[in-house]
Amino acid sequence: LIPQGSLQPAAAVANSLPQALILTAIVIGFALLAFIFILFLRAYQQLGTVDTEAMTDSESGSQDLTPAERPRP
Amino acid sequence: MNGWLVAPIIAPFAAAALALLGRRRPLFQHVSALVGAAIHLAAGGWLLYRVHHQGIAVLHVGSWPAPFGIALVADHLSALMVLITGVVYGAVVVYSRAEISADNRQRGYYPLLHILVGGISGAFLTGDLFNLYVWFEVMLMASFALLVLGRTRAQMKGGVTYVVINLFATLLFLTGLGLVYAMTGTLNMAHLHLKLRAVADPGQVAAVSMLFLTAFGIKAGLFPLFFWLPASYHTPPVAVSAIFSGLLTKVGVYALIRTFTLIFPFDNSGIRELVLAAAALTMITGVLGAAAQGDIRRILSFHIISQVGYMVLGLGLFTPLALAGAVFYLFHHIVVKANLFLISGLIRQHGGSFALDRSGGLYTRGLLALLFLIPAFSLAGFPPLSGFWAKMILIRASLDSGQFALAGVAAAVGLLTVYSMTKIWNEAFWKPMPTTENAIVHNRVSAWMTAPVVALVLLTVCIGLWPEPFVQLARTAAEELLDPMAYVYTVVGEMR
Repeated sequence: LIPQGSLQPAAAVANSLPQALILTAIVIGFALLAFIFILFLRAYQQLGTVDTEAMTDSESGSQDLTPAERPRP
Repeated sequence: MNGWLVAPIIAPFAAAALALLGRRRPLFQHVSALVGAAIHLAAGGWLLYRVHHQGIAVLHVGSWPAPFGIALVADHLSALMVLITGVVYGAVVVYSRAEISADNRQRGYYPLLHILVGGISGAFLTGDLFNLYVWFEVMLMASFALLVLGRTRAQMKGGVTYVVINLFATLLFLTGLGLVYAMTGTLNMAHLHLKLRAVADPGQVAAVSMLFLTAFGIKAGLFPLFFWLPASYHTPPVAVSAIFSGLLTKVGVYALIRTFTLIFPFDNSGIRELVLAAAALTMITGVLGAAAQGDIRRILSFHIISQVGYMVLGLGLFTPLALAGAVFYLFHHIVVKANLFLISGLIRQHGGSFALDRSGGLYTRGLLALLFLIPAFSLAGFPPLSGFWAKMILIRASLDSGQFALAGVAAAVGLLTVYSMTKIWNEAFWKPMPTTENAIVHNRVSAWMTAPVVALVLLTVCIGLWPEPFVQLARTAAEELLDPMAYVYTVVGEMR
């Protein structure tokens, strides 16, 4: 690409760095989207809705020790 | 070559690989986690020692000189953050042994935890803006999965909120990144420091820095952007919420400090005033939100927000003392907050519940009461505990720069913090147990859960009784932040 003995390419060349960056961002974005779709699917199956206003469980849900976690007397 | 700079990143990833290999062997997983955490902690200590004695260290990955390759840079702030990450990492790994259920372990709890810590360490060490984005993603993916690992309804709800808002923040970050690259043609933070000064239109730079402020503000839980935090942090297992509360929002604070000292140093664009206002409102709304809650972990989540306000206050004041206060606050807060979350797990083990109206009578557990009181008072800023020094430095700094209103807010928020801590104390410890059905469970609490709490409490007491070396480190860090030429010179060298 760069002729012998010169420091710059002879013709105008596209900067390859943004391409590498965009490719990285695409890969990451794809992985994120895949995760999000599965998460939404599970949330829909479990909660029956994907409307965050209608999901109220995190406020009311009890996280007390379950009977199995309690020691037997 | 400063090859050892990658150690705090490699160690957790190696541990993650081992944990994946030994998926069916809990003991092997736990031992490898302990070894990984120990190496990480040692590497963090070594890093701080080296940086303190030999100055800022830089590693050009793959020997590509800056600004072409990715540089890993450790200054005092980075080294301190990596070290404290190691402390919390170790505590959480030990705690996990007893707290994480076999189900969660089967679903890959350990590999995810290691990857999370690897991402956090990478974010603290990187000197490249795009690389910071990548580490953020590594960290976020691991945290998403950890958050919904238990697959309960509450976790699904918290998870959806958390994932969506973080995805949005990431996109803002990426947009800002693209614009910065378009303006300057570089992504190396030190190089950006030089290049952005030369950009002709200061309005453009200010607009882009707002994108960064919003993106990192969401991650840090700044005033109008924090609602995702109390919606999600109380849902995962205690060990997970401890590491989230200790480290994740603080990565956002770290990124804010780094961005607004090195890349976009405050000038007269009005962003500093905006940051100060956001800091004050963050402190107030956080502490008021906490007062209205009835679940220990939700109270603590709201307190994360109000405490983040203090750190950002230090950044906004932008004096050497204020930045030193912010760094000291970060350090103190990570230890105390992670510890309080771990203690909430102990409270649940003893009393059966996180909900204050369903617990009580824990004053009979003398050790637990003492273990709770020390970090709780430290959080509220009682002398001579670590929080007192942190708050004192920041209030002093605001008085010095003539911001009397901000000093007043900081002091008042400290007082309101006492109110919340007293509330937990009154409800969970002092009042008698409400129902017979929950009646004093004589649960044996595993030493795996108590030991890290005791260690972190001792660390809090140490910082409180001998604050001098820590304040000194914070001051050095603040000097480096305010005068970034040493950083810039170390990274890009003569290349100007």
